[in-house]
Amino acid sequence: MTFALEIDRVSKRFGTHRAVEDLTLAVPRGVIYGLLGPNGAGKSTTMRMVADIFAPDEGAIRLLGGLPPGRAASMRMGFLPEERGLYPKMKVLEVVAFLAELRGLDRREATRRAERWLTRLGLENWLGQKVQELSKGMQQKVQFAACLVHDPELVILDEPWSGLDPVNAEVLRDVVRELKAAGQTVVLSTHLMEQAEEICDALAIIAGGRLVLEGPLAQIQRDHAPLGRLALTFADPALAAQALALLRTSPAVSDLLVTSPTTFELALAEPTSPAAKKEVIATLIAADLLPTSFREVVPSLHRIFVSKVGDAARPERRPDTASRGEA
Amino acid sequence: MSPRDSRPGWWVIARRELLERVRSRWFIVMTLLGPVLLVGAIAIPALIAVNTAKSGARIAILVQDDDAQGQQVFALVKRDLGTIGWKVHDAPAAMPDETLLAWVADKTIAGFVRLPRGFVDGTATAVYQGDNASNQGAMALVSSLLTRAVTAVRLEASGLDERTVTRALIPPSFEARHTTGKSESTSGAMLFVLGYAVVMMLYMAVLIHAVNVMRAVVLDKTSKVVEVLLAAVKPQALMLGKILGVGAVGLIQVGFWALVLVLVTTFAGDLFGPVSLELPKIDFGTFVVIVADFVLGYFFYASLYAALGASVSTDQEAQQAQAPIVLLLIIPVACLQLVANDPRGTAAEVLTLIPFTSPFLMPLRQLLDGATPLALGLHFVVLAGSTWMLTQLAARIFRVGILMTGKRASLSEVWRWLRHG
Repeated sequence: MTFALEIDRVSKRFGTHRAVEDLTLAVPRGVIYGLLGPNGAGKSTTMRMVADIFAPDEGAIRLLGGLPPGRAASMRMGFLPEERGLYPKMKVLEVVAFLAELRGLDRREATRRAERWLTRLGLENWLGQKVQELSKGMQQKVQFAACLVHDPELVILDEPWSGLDPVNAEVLRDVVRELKAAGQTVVLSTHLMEQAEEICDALAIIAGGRLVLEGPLAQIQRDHAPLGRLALTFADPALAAQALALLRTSPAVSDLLVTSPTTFELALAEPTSPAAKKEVIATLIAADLLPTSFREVVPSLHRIFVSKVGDAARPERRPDTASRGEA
Repeated sequence: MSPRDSRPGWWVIARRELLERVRSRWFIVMTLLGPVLLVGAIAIPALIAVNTAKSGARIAILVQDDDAQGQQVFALVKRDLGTIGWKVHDAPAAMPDETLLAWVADKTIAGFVRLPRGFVDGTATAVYQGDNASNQGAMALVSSLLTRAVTAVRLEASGLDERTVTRALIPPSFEARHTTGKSESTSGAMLFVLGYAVVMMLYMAVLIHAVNVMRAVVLDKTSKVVEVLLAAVKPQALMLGKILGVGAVGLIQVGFWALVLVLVTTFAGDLFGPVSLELPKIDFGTFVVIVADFVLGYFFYASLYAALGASVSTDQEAQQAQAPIVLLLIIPVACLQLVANDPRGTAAEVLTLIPFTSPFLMPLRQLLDGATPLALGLHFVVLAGSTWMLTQLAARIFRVGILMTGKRASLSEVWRWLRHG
């Protein structure tokens, strides 16, 4: 398998602060990959190292089949940093074309693609306006266009939804999905677990600069599913209430938790026993109380994140910004 | 495969800086009006000084009634000053200083001078007190007219008749022409004015555009575009692009101004024929020296300003931090007269070797024909070498400082960046 991004035992320190410690992860091509972690976990530092803004102290980073971070890789990579801005007095079309030229496009092609991307993001009537005349959300869309204008194979997005209203957030989510459909790889960081759960194929959770968890999202959720915990949904609340009453007395069930008028979760008395699950089903069939859905409980990404990160989410004192600049 | 451009990142950065600036109205106005403003800045104060020396002042000259020679001097000075628009108040000698000072205070007179007994024979000093005593032109005028009047009175006292005295006092015709023996002599005064204009032109251009480099770097930081840029180009390329782009703007401006100077000095006879203004010509060699000194001087100071811009976070911090560089920039202006007085002297030799002062003072020295080919060569070797070294050091500061936000770098931090760069 070829990877769009490989981070191999990378460490980065700022003074005495260890921002990233012995981090290893691999992002397959053509996926949407989430980089999750609490504040100060080292997500932005990792992304900056990938974008060649900082050099790692130790370890290696390889992009798109073996390129080191640098100009050659940057021509094939888009980067939307967390600290992002644009020249306020430049015109919208010109600033995107300028950034496309920096990524190696010739001037005419840069302008053509800038216009196409800005139009795709609904900014076709603002091409000739100065950046400072746009709202913050619109400026963010311009930045997004600038990140994608050179058709990068790998797109790095640091907190892409930060500061966006729900409508524009949805536009950007659609674009990210389109990138994936076109075979491009997207690596994004976010604090919004629901967003990550909805859009990511795979993810890594880092805390304190170290890797806590990595893998495909479905696999992670399966691996973290509580043993012997089932979720049952019924067609109406009355049926759900009858089933609940019935199962309260069942020796196969140790615990019950109502999650909605039509749904409840149960814990099997013997979580690893297939017989316990069969007994629950048999009890319901005998009482003619068939659920519309009967499945093992899959933990939310939010729950996994909180359980894995836990204490690591407590903020550690960060070094001052001056030493952060010491790449 | 999409159309790719092989142009390096610094080139794209430089072009943006150039285009953004040359498109602005201020650039067009400053380029076209720069020479006019420069001439105005030099000529208007000089004209004002000359005019205030020649007209408008009202002064009092006080002489004892029984001092016959003093009275003669008074009459001559009053006549001469009157011919150029001055008014001499005829105050009695007994009038106390307090009254005269009160007149100065309420602007009835600009000043007064008592001619004491013994003034004519040189045993007593006349003291002028007034609000125009600091006006060098006015004081030189009063002093020269007093000298002339005293000389006339002394000559008459020695028995010469009035016609002989008048003839004796006709000033000889004198003109200073500058030459070092190698070229045709030209008007010393005009050459100094031209040299002054050239130095100020270079000074303005270097200062304006080097400061613009700093502001461009600070803008990248305050607008938070810097990380977007650094994801595509190296910090060194970003700094080079900024310096080249803004420098190209300056080069266009200085090139235009120098061309105007060359044209004006070449065709001065046709342009100012009736006024017979004799402007020294700027030859092609001097033109090359001016442009080369601008380029090197600009790179020298622009590197300093780029490093400074990278070490601060806001415009306000940048304004405060640039004080040491501004002090360095004052030195060449303060030393202008030294070089003009003796373009082949030791002071001129030294000042045109020190990189902080040499890019401004060598063009003046060259205009005054004071630099030998060896001195010129040494000047450019030292200036180019030190500029190259400075750009390397500035790049070390820039590389780290450009990513710093939120605070101004301390001197110890900058020193560490230099050592570990």
